Amino acid sequence: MKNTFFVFLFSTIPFVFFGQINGFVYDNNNMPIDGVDVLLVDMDFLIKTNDKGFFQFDQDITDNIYIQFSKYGYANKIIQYKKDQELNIILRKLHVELDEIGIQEKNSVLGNNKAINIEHKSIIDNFISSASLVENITQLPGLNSIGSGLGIQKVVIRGLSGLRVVSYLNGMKIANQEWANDHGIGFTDLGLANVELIKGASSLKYGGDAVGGILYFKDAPFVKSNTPSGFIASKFDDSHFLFSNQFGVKWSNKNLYINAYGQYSISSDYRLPNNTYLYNSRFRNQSYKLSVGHLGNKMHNIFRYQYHSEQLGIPAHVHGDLNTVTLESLTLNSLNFNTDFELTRPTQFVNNHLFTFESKYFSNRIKYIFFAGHFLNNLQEFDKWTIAAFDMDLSTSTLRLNLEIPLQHFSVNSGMQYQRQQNYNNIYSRLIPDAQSNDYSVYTTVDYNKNFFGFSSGLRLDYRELTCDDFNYNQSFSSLNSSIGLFYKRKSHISRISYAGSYRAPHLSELFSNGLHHGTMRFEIGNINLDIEKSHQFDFKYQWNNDHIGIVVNPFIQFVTDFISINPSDSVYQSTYPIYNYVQFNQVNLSGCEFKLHFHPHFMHNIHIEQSYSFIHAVNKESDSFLALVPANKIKTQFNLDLNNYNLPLGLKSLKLYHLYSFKQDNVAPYEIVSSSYNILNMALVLTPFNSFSASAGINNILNKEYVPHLSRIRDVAGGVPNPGRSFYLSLKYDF
Amino acid sequence: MKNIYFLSLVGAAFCFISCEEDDHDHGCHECHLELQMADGTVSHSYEIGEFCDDDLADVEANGFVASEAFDHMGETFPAGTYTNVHCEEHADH
Repeated sequence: MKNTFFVFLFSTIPFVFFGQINGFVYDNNNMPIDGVDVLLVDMDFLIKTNDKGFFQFDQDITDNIYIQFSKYGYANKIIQYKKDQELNIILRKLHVELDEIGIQEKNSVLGNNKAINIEHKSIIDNFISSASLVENITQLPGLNSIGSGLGIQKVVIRGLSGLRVVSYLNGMKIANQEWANDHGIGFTDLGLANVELIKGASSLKYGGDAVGGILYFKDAPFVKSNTPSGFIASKFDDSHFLFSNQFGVKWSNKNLYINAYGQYSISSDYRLPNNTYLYNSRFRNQSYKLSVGHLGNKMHNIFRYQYHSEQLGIPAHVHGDLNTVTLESLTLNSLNFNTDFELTRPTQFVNNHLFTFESKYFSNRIKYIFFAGHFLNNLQEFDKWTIAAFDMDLSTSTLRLNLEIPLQHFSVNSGMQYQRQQNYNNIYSRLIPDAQSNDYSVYTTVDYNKNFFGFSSGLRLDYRELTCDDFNYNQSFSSLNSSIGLFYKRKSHISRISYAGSYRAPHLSELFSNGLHHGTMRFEIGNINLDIEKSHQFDFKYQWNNDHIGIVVNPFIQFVTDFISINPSDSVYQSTYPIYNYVQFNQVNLSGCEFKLHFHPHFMHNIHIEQSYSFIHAVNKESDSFLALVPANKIKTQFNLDLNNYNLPLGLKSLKLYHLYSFKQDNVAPYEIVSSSYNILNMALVLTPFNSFSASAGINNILNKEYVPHLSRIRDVAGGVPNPGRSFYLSLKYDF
Repeated sequence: MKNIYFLSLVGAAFCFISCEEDDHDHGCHECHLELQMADGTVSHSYEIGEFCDDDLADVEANGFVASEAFDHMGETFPAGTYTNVHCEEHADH
């Protein structure tokens, strides 16, 4: 079998064709467009057009690689390169920019984005334009966050989170004890360019456990830069007295490309609307990353390393009954700058090392991708000063081989994956035991696109072996995941419908937890009888737009059987901590709808108004009650005034307003507290005060509203600890 | 161009010079006992003083030794070793 594979691999070499790329990009009126991003997708390489609309890549490249042309305000275009092809590209000017909801043609790592509901969001300027990576992403409809301040945040997709939302970073699954709400996303926006998102489990290549959804984060591409180029950037956010700095350097020599980045952030406690400070919501983080690429004619090799370290205070730590604690006992009246940036207790110490290696080989017809990754997560949680409550290493190693075979209107994507995960406790005190799992997967997807119709379908078989010596547990789980999507476009009307069937084997935290978890302030007990959780999701998306209005309607329904949940009991540990048990509900139904409206008035082309409405309804059919921790329905509105053409002082480029209305959440589970409605208003100015400098300044929570999101980690303490009050931020970036 | 590049690197280095490896620095901390009261409640208000460095590590690992009986909130607790020692800080300023 192995010999057959290599014979097949190398027999394709003689059919490889090479060429050098150059061409022009014009608008509808044949005027050249400068600053267009010309992305050689398969090479992860970016070129920009000059003022004549000209671009050039002086290295040989193979036939059939995808080239994506994009610029804000224009419709994207993707072509498949052929040798000697004349590249005179026309980009259509857009009045309605629906970039973030997938109406545009974009290459996606997650699959065929015409037939599958894939959303894209650019995060390349996240550092200077947003308070955090998670806050930026969760402006998309249907997305929320669980957290406490900027330190601990994680993404919730259509009411599901934790193990059901899988995050990938440059091809590697981020396994950072993500089962708990106090364990954040595990990395920052450093060096990232964009994120792809699927709500639900339609991505079979990366799917598996992603019953709730998948987030795929991608680094910024390589660029040609014989002398080092890069940036330094700084940010101050007075909600947390956060100081954060980043730098990035890019350099290339012949076929060798290097990107390197670093970040350091330090924050004190966040300020509540009543001008007190939530004690121990402070945090620090440090990140470094290095990407080295060798982009040859027919083979591309990319190695990446990322180190991320964070120290996160766990706020609202109390003794005694959570309900009798007062907010005053959890807050400071003022900040002492000598002591209130120092770490105290309880605190999490997180250290992540991520190594990835990706090798792509292009034959004339087939693209072979080999991926190897290793992610090492160390999590220590200190309640005492000198003794950790737990100290765990979670190592995840992945090997994946993928083949992409483009046919005339079809493309076949097939592969196999092996993943080994090992949890190891460095000390005797522990919450979950030492355990190992081995996952084996094979998958195939078939995409068809012709004119205005397309479909995507696929199957994925997962097999997991899970062993835990402490519990004498040795169990295997197998599951068959599937998805199918249909796409139809007629004039300006686009419709998609998709089905995804996915299965999630229980995680070792759900099976074996047995201990006090200070981060969640509860005693957690696992259940070794848990079985596979099964999900069936139907998703329909309709989009229509003309030059001034765009509309998206996206209803969905998801049936989850054997839903694994953690439930409170009537027992208490040490008279303080409620005891929670892992249980399995027979059936949970989640349904809802997301609407999006983009309005661009004809009389003033500089104004863009985007509004989204997300509605979700989650019912536990077993008890005929609502599901806990389901986000409130929301209306999110963005107003963007483009000032580029006015030559205003300080290079004022745009004014942005963001308004969030969260409805009252009274569809709550038994013993869960109802959450009130609230309004939040944010404002931001984007400027280019000097050449090579860009800046952003803004005010968050302008109305100084006191509010407690339904998914706040500290909603049950002291009647609910509010989110930060009114604050301003200032960020500055210098490109060289 | 070269000068700008090196100036930028110096700037970046300056920004990161404040990076401190967290050292799990222990220092000195006020500690108290967690005491089970007769009515079933738990008290966290019996202070046992300030502990530093090795003494702090010792009291957190091995507990506090009360050499004689002591009174707290109207109840008498016998001499002995009390293992539920808390030295973490709370919002008090």
